[in-house]
Amino acid sequence: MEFLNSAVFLIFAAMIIFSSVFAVFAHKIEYSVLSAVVCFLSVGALFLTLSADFIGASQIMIYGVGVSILLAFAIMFTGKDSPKSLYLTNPLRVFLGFVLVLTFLSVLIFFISPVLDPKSDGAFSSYGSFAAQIESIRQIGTAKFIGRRIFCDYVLPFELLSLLLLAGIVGVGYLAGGSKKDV
Amino acid sequence: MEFAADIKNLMMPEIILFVGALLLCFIGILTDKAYKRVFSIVVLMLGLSFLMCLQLDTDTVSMAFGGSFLISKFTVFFKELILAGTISTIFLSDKYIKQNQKSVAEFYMLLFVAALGGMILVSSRDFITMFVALETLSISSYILSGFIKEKNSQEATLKYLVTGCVASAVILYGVSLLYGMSGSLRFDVIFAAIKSASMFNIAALSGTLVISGLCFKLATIPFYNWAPDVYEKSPLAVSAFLSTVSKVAGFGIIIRLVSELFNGIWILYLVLGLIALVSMAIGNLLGLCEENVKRLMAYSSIAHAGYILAVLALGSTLSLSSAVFYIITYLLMNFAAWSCLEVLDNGDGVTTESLKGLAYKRPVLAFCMVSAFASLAGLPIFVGFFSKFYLFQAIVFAGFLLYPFLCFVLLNSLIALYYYFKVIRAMFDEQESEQTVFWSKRLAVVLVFSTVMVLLTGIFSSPVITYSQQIAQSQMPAVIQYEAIKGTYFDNPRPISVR
Amino acid sequence: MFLGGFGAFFAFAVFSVMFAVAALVVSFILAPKAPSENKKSTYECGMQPKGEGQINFSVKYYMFAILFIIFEIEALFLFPWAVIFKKLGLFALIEAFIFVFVLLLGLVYACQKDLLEWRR
Repeated sequence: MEFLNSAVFLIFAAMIIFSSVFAVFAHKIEYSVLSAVVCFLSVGALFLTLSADFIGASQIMIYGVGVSILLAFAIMFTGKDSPKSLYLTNPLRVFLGFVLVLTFLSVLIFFISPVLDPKSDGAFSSYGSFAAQIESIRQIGTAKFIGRRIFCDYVLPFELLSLLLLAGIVGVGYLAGGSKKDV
Repeated sequence: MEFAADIKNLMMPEIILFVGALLLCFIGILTDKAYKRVFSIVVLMLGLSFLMCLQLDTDTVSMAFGGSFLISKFTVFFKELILAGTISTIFLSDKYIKQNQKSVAEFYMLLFVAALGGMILVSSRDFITMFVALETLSISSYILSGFIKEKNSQEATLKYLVTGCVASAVILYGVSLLYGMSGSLRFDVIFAAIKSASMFNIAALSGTLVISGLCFKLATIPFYNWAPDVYEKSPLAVSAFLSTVSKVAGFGIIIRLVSELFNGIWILYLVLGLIALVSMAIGNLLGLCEENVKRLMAYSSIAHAGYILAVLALGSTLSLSSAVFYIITYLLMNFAAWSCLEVLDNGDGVTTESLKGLAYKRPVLAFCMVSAFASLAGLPIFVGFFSKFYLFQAIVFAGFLLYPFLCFVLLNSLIALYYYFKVIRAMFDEQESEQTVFWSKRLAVVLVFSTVMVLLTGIFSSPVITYSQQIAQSQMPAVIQYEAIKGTYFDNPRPISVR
Repeated sequence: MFLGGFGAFFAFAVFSVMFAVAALVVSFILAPKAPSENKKSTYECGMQPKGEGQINFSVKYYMFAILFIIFEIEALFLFPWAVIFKKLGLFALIEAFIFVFVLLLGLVYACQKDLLEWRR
C-alpha cells in the first residue's frame, strides 16, 4: 500500500514537472496554456493524495477552473495579433537562464542540506514519535483544520481578505468596465 | 469575548478605515458623480483614525488576535506616518479629482484600502497577516496607478503588476522555506526555532528572499524598474502615495523583520548593505540624464531608499534612529516636492525645459520648489542636510572598517547634487517658458504645510531627532519582549469555544 | 490511509480515463479506413471554410471571468466555516457574516455599475 501511495505521488510529481517545462518551452501559446492547466490539476491531485482535501479542492476550483478560463480568455482576446512562435530563440538568453537556475539550485542545496540531516530536529519534532508527527501533518490540509485556523487564529487576515476582494471588484469595474457613455 | 476587547482597545484606527472603505464603496454605488461631501467625510475619517492612533497606549507592548497583531511604540508611530501621508495624498489629489469628476468615491476607497493594508502590514506578527496586508496594499496600488485610462499609463500599470507578482512569489518562497523548517508562521516561534536549531543557513536564505521581495515596495533593486514609468504615468497624487506611504510601510515591516525575526543573522545585513549600495548608485546614475522631473523623482526616491537601507544594514540603535529620522524627513521633503509639481503639471508632465524662468514669474512657488529640491539634495539649513548628516554620523560611529562604505555614500550624495541642481538652475534661467499653474485651497494647504515643515524641522531638528531616538530605542529590544509567548501553533492550538 | 482517503476517487478517475482511451483505440484499430480528399475537408458538404479557426473574443467576457473567480474564492472560504460551524460558535458566525456582507456590497456595486449587464 505504501508503495502504491508513493507511486501515485511520483506520477503526479512527474506530470507537474513535465507539464510546467512544456508550458515554458511550447511553441504555441495554446499548448502552453493547456499544459499549464494540466499542471494546475496535477498539483490539486497531488494535494489530494496527501489527504489535504481542502487545499486540493481549492487548487482545482480556483486554478483548474477559474484561472484556466482567464488564461483561455486572455488568448482569445489577443488572438491573431499575437506572435506565432513563442520559442526562446536567443541561445545566449537560454544559456544564461540555465546558468541562473543551476546557480540558484546549488545555493538552495547548499543552504538546505544541513537541515535535511535525519539526525537534526525536524519542525514537528515536538509531537513525539514519527508516526504521531505524520498523523498531525496529515491534519493540516483538511477543511476542519483550516477552518479552525481561519476563524480562530487568522481572523484579521480573513476579514482583510474580504476588503481585498472588494477592492478587486471595484478595480475591475473601473479598469475593465467602460463607463455607460462608451456603449 | 476576547476578540471584541482587542478590537475595542487596540484596533480602532484600522476599524475606522475598514468602515470608511465600505462607506465609500456604498457612496460609489449610490452615485457616479463627485459627491460634494465626500472629501470632508474622507478627511474626517482619516483624522479620527489618526487621533485613535495617538490615544493608543504604547508604553507597553500589546497584541491582538492571538498574537498576530502587534501594538508597540514603533508600529503605532509608523501607522501615524502612514495616516499622515494618506491625508496629505487626499489633499494633493484635489486637482485630479476636480479635473476628472468620475469615480471619486472609488479613488478614495482604494486609497483607504491601501492605507489599511500598510497599517496592518507594519504591525503584523505572522506571515499570513503580513502577506495578506502586503497584497492589500499592492493590489490597491496597482489599480490606483492605472486610474488614468490611457495607453501609456496602462502599460506602466502592467509593468508594476508583473513586477509585483514576481516579488510576491519571491516572498512566498522565502516564507515557505521558513515554515517548512520551523513548522510555524509566527515571527516569535520562527525566531525561537532559528535560535535553537541549526537554522542559520536557511534563515539567511529565506530572509534574503523575503527582504528582496519586500524591496519591491521600496523600489530598490532587484525590483526597481517599475518606478520611473509608474511615477510618470499615474495620477500625480498616486505617485506621491507610492513614493511615500507605500515606502514607509515597506520600511516598517523590513525594520521589524530584521530586528525581530532575523536578529543576529549577519549575512542578511550584508545583503541589505549590498542592496543599498547598488540601488543608490543606480538611482543616482540614471537620474543624471533625466529631463522629466517626475521620472527624476522616481530615481531620487530609489536613491533615498538606498540611503535608508544603508544605515539599516548597520543594525545598531543609533543607525535605526537615524533611519527613522530620515524616513520622517523624506516624507516631508517628498510631499513638498510633489505638491509643487502638482501645481505646475499641465498634463504633459513637468520637464526642466518647462520650468525655465519660474523664479522670476512665480517667486513663491519657486521658493517652495527650491527648498524641496535643496532639501532632497541635502543642503544645509534645510531638513535634508540634517537627515544626511545624522546618517553619516551613524556610519562613522559604526567603525573605521566602514569608511569605504561611507565614502561611497558620500560620493553618491555628490552625484545626486547634480540633478537636483539641474532642476533648480532651470528655474533661474533668463529664458522664460510658458507655465500654466493650478491653485486650489486644498493643494495650497499641503504645499504650504510641507514646505513650512521642511524649513522648521531644518531649523529646529533636535526634538524630532530625540523623538526618533525614542522610537528606535523602543524597537531595538523587541526580541526580549517576545520571550513571553512561547509554543507553536501545533502543540498549543487555541481552544475552540464550545457552545 | 490509501492515497489520503481518496483512493476510490483516483481508481474511478483512472478507470474512466482508461475506458475513454480504450474506446478510441479499439475503434481506431477495428474501423475500416478509406480516406479521400472530400472526407478530409472540414465539412463534407457546404461552404469551404476561410481563414483561421481562431477568433477574437470580446473583452466583455473577461469581466464575468474575474467576478466569477472573486465569488468562487468567497465560496471557498465559507466552506471550512460550514464544516465546523457548530463548534465555532457566535463569534465565527459574526466573522463570516462580515465577510459575506463586504462581498455582497461588491456584488451590489458590480450590478449598479452594469458590470454584469451584457453590452454589445
